[in-house]
Amino acid sequence: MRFYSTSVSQIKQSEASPRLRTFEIYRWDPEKDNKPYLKTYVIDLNQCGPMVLDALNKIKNEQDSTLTYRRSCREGICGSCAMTIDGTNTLACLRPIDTEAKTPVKINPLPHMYVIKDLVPDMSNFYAQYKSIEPWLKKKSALPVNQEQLQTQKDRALLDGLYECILCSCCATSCPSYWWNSDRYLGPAVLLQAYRWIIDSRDEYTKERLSTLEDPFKVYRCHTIMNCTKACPKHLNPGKAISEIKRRISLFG
Amino acid sequence: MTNYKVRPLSGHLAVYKMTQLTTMLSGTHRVTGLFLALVVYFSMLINKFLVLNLSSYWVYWVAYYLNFYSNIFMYIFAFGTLFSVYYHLLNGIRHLGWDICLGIELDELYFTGKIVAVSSVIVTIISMYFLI
Amino acid sequence: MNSFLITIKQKEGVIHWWLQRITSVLLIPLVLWFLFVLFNSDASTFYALFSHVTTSINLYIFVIFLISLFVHIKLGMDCIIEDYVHHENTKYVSKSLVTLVTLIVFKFFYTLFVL
Repeated sequence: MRFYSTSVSQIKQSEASPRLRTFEIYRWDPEKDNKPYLKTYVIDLNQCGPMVLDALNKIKNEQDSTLTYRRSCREGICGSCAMTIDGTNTLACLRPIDTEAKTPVKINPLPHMYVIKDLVPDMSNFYAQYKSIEPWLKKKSALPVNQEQLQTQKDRALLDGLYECILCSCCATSCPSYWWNSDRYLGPAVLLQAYRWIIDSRDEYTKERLSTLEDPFKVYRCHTIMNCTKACPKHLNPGKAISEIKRRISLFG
Repeated sequence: MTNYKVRPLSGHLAVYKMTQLTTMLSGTHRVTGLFLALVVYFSMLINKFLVLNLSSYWVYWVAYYLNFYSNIFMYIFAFGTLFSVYYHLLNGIRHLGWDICLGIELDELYFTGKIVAVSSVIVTIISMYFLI
Repeated sequence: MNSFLITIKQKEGVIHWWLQRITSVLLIPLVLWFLFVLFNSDASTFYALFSHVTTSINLYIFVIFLISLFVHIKLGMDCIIEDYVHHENTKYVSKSLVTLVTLIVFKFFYTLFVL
């Protein structure tokens, strides 16, 4: 009997054939290009981390440093790297690269948004809509002195599934109603946050918050298509929050 | 400074996965609703058309061929309208459930959605059998 | 009067939503009833169908069915127009046309079946 005494790394190097994966990425340079186009990149998955963001970083480091995208935390909590990967909106840092499929991975910026460069959309309309719902605690009575504003555990539990929103806008940009009416419809992300302030027991302006949402555009463009719930990378349910808002908007008064 | 071109709008219908259950069922709900509304509007027109005593040649020609092919045409039309009615009805019940926040979680959505899609086809086939 | 009109304009979205839900709930049994009548009528012509529908109890149900159906259709078409038409004047004209056509078709069916 003979024992082969080759080291593990030698075996790995001789056996590892490159696993290639093609990426088709949306490119547009405002200073050079007239029209956006899809550029193809090929990377070896053996030399790359598991997530799509790792692939983008690898392409930017080794192949094309002009590739532009937003990223920050690389762990799915900041919401910067939201983009359309293989037809659905997610965070690039949380979407694993599909190693089984043969077709190229298609990466596009979030749908129906004005593109600043490559995969970077203009989020100013989205942020303005978020500001318009006044996402802060509003009180009519005096604040308690030298004490926190108390809240029962049951009331705090109402905020679960709402406060975790990272405002990545994956949901809003997956909603066809938001595509056609982004100027007047607030979109699932902003409405989820509006609901978060409506049911916060410490907030005393509930009636006023609900009455600003009465017009046919801010809330009622939602036809419960539910693309938002499917897209949310944090597994929240904006469609449910919007239904809850609609239930609470009163016909009288 | 730099001469920025007009910013392009990123792709939506062409880029996003339109074959998700959520989008398909909601789209079908809207299309069947629109189709049924048009059927109701046109049924009045057709009745007027059949009752009016027009005697021009092209009216006779249209009526003759409509009658000739009416068998197959009527089958297809009846199937389409019945399917629209049943699908819109069942999906409408699903919509009413969502309005009281029942069945609005993602797994429930997919489950009820599949039931609605399959049962509307089955009920249409059963109705067509009784009609014919 | 002015404040009433302003409130109506402000609450347009809520009113539309509630009316659509009420007519939907009414229509669930009414459409099933109408299909049942249609399938059981052995009517080979349009005319044979009316005589079945115009027995006394069926008539009241049929009127409620017609009203809720046409309100539901009008609200649904309004929704579609508001979603896709953004030009203010085109939207106003299309909505008025839809309301007009709905009223005409309702009047037609009412006079045909009920009177």
